[in-house]
Amino acid sequence: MVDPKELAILILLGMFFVLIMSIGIIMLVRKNRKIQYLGAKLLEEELANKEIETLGVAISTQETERSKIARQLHDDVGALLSLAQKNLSNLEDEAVSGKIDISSISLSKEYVSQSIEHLRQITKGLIPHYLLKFGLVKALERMAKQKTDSLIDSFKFDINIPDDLVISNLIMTHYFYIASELITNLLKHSYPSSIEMILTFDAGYLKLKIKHNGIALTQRDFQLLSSDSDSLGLENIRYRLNVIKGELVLKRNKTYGTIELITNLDKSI
Amino acid sequence: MLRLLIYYEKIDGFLVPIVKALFVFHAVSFIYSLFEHVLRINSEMMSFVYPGFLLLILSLNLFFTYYLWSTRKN
Repeated sequence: MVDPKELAILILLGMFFVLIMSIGIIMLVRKNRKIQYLGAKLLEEELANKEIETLGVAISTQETERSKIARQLHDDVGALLSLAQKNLSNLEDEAVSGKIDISSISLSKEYVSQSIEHLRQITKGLIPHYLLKFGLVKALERMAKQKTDSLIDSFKFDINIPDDLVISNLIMTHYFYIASELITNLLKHSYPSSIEMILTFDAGYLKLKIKHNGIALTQRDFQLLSSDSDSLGLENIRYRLNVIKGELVLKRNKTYGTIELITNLDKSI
Repeated sequence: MLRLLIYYEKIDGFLVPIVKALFVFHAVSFIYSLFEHVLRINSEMMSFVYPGFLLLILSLNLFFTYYLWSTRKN
């Protein structure tokens, strides 16, 4: 039989132990709450930093592009126009003295036409002239051929879209640039030796299927990559997909991988 | 009580300290209630254990009084 005094002490000790335990639990819950709060804050900060970084990349790209255009305008067009102006001033002087050299006029004309040609080249780099002039199919074919030429063994492009299909310039431009970025990334990271492109149109959906035998990604890989990466290319793809309400479907098989760029022409924009 | 402590966002911030105090009180009184039938018939044991329990009840009441008073004052 247990001594009542001992039992009472045991009960008291039990009560004290439970008291300490419950205070411990409260402190643990409090600490957990603090950790959760700090984690959420950290995540928020990280997201904000990522956004700032992406913005920084976009701004620096814009700045680089601007300075490139400014340099081209200054060095090529500006220099030629200055020469043309100088020649015209000389012609003015010659006109006053009554002796006009016809070769000076030809030279000025040549400078002006060269300036026009340079300007055309600069604007060609800014707007996809070929795409707007010849349409999506031709532009895709040309782009893919230019990029894959000498880099892979075989390239095939099949088209199965109606001749009278009308695609707005905006969708066409975004669609073209997404496809272009996909091909670039494919050649850069997947090392394929053969690429097959099929452009189809079915029930309002424009679908570009890129089948290749390089290192292929699954849909999950791509999602992980695009959420983790801060690359401007992937950011651009996401942005353009959002504009045309399109989607990318990536599949990996034993011997090949496919990337499908799908957009509903009825719904997009 | 523990659920309320863990999912604290579901209750008002004012109630959190009250829930904490009630949690401690319930935990200790659970042990007391386990042996209450033994203690009630043994005055020797009761004289040892009950002051401790009484101290807990008093502390709880003091805390509630102070907490409600200070909140109202603020």
